[in-house]
Order: sequence, then structure tokens, then C-alpha cells
Amino acid sequence: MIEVLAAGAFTSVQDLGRPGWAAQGVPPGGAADPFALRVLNTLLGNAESAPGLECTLRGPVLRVAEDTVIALGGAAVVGWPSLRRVVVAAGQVIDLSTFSGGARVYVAFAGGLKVPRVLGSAAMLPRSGWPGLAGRILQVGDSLECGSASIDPRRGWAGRAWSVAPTLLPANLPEGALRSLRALDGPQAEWFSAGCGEAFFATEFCVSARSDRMGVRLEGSAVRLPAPRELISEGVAFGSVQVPPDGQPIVLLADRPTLGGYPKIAQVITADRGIVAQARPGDRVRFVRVTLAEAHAALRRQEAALVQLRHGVALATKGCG
Amino acid sequence: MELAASADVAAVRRIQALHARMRTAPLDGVLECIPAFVTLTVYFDPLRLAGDEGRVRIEEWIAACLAQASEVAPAEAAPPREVVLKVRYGGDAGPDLPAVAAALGRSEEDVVALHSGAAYVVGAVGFSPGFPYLLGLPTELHLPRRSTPRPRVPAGSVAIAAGQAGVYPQATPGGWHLIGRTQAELFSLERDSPALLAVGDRVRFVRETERAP
Repeated sequence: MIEVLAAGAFTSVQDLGRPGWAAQGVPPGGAADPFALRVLNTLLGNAESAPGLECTLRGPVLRVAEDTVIALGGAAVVGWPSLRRVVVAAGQVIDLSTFSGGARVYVAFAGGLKVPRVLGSAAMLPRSGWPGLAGRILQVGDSLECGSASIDPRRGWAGRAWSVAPTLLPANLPEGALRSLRALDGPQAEWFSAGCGEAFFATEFCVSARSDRMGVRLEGSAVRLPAPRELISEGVAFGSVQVPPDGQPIVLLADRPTLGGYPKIAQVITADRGIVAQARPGDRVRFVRVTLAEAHAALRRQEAALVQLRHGVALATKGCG
Repeated sequence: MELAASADVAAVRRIQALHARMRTAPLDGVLECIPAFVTLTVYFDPLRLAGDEGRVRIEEWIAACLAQASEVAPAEAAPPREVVLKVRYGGDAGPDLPAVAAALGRSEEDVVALHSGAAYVVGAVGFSPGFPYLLGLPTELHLPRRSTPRPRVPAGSVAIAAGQAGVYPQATPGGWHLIGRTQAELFSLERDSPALLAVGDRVRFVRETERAP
């Protein structure tokens, strides 16, 4: 059992979300940085989609009742190693309150968190009214259970000091750093004048404090249509860059509504979801235009690295068994 | 993909037929389809439907679905489902009814009669789980959104704005005018298909009589 001693600023249970329900208006949801959670779960021998915790800006303080193997990744937590198995002894406190380098830390647990699922997923969706941790963030006094793990924390190799190459995930960056997001032209890119499109890709934006799991809101020189034009609401995607009438773009994340009525000037590539999800208020963002072939190549490299990690973990586990 | 220029019943029927065809004959690698007003957005895994070959397969699949969907003559197609929603208008249930009537220069009675007298079609489901965007609001009731959205709209609120009607399934923030409330559950996890309404369904609102329990 894991006891929540302090909840943190905004900590939720997340997995890889609930695809398949979008036609009924259900946001796919899930981890804002899904690749980070998949890496941590792979490291622990879990299914990639096992539920873990997503901690935002200030993490929780947890106490484990029995020996537990965890892995941390995303932003860097002060006092805890990232991207490796860590054996936490019964009674030990995991203080995740201070982290740096990004907006979100993921905590995966060997065996995954055992929480009720809604529409096939444990992912928390705000304002859904769904029962338990599918409908709300963590609170002090919550207790969490882990499923049965494939790793035995009492075995010597469980916490052996090897870690995933840190280059597998985007680099942690100091506050205010410039984050480059590779992007394709969006479905309504041609609605904007050629000059405006070029200006968009040349502009540095600042991440607003009003950003959340629905989207990263940007502030900067306004992006304007040459003339007002109404879009009939249509499906949007993770990484879609919407431009509302005020000209301040929004990069949509996991909890986006399924439909959007603002023109989409660009689409952040799948391989860079982690970079945008880790953007904190005050960080700077710019968009770098790439081709569809480059976007697919980047995704293939990322997925190949994860396959390699899975094989490495299997080998290491077997070799020490 | 865009299938029509303006959101009307004919456009919704075409998208509904295409979506139905896509669900009957799914393509491996397609993750999700979202029908909405004049578009149907297809989400696919670019690793499973990769490169030019993947693009060709998706385009051929869409073309086949479109052809099959349009082969079904309207008379042969299953008649669209009709859902009737009972509404308590005005008062606590519809706090904006007086303001809406004033803004439109009509009596509250007129507004209720126009709203409950119209036939609607679901053009899209979104905003929140199960929220139906309804086409068919009489032009007499067209007015822009509230200048200040409410931080919390009660679940079941029957609302109008921007030329459309809708119903809030959950308590969420919202900027539409609330004219009534329904007890119907627009989204329920107890059902196999949680959303009560789907694109293409017909909807009518009827005034709940005072005698109702």
C-alpha cells in the first residue's frame, strides 16, 4: 500500500488514456507525456499502459507500507535518481515535492497502480464526475495499491544501478529555457497569409501560467488571420496548435476536448509530445517546420529505442534470474 | 476530411452513413474516427499505416467506404433514431430564460414554444463526454454566447447559443444560455454506449407538465 502524506500541486493517476470513445465526446486523456510513462513501465517489466502517477510542478509525498520498486522520469526530482529501478523499503518516505527541468514527473510502480477503470482506462479526467481517482486528483489520506509485480524487490538485481540512457527522453531544461517543437503545417495553415505562417515559425512564444492538461497556452506576438473566418468545429489531435481570435496559440494536450472550432496553424509531431508536455509557465517555445517524412522518421527512432529498452530489460532480468 | 460546405441535415446524414460504414469495415491501424457537422476526422497509427503505402491504403479505404455509404438509398437506410427529452423550463432549472426572452424581444412562453416545437438533429458530440450539438434551432432563437461563461453549469442544463441547442451532460463550465433542465442522463457509464445521443440522431424537447412527479 502507498499512503499519500502530501498530495502535491496537481497529481493524478494516468495511463495511456481511453482511445476509441472520442466519437462520444470522451477526450482520449492519459499521460501528458505518454512516452515517458511507457519508458518507466517498460523499465519495471509492466505493461506499457500500466497506471502510474503524473505529478505537476510540485509532486506528492508518499510512504510505502511494503518494499516497492518504482521508477521516476520526466522532470528530475531532487534526491532521487531518474530512469532506473529504485527499491523503496517498507516505511520509507518518497518526497517528490521538489523537481526541476520540466513541468511533470512520472512515477511508475512495479505491478502498476491497482485502481478502478472507467471505459477501460484509469486516467483521471477533470470535471468528468467519474468515481474515485478517475474523476479527481490525489488528496492527502488517499491510499494506493499496486498490482502484482514481475520484479521481486528482495532479489539483489531489482534495484541494480543501471539506468536508461537519458537521451531516450527529452533533455531537462532550466526554467525559462527555449523548447523547440518540430511541427507540420496544420489543416488550416493556408488560412493564414504566407507571411503570417513564416512569422509563426520564427516567433518565440512564452508559456502561460493558464496552461493545463488540456493545452499549453502560449503568449507572444499575435497570430492573425488576414480576415475573420469561422471554422465549423471538427476533430482535433494531441499537438494540434489552435489559434483563437486573440492570436495566442494553444498546443492541445491529453485532456483536450475532442472537437475544436479554432483554425489549426500547425501540428506538433508525435515524437515531440514530451517536449511540449514538459513546458512550464515561463519557458519559451518555438516551432520548427519539418516534413511528414521527418516526423515519421523521428517517431520510428523513438519507438525503436523503446523496443531496444524492452529487450534490454528482458535480458537483464533473465541474466540475473 | 471535409464532406460538405455548411452544417445542415443533409451533411450530417452523409457523415453518419460514412461513419457507420467505417465502423462496419474497419481498417487495421485506424485508431479513431470523429464525425462532426461537415467533417469526419480519421486518426491512425503512422507506424502501422506508414509512408506512401499507408497513405494509399487509407485513401482507398475512405473511397470504398464513401462509395458504399452513398449506395444506400435514403429510403433503404434505417430511419434515424428519435430521442425525446423532457424539459422543465425556466425558474431554477432555466435561469437565463427571462434574459433570453428579453434579448429576443419575446415572451418566455414564446421562447419555450419555439424551442420545444422544433425538430433537431445531432450535428456533433463533443465539448464534454456526451454533449450534443443540435442543429435545427429556430432562427428566432439565435443569439450569441453569454459574454461571461459560468464556471459551473448544472448537469442536465438545456441550453442555446450560437445558432445551436445543446444539453450539458456533466456539471462543467459553460457559456451557453440555460433555459431549462432535463432529468435524462446524456452520458452514463451504466450503459454499454455511454453517450445517449450520436451524430445523426433526431431530438425533440417536450415541456414537462407540472403534474409530473
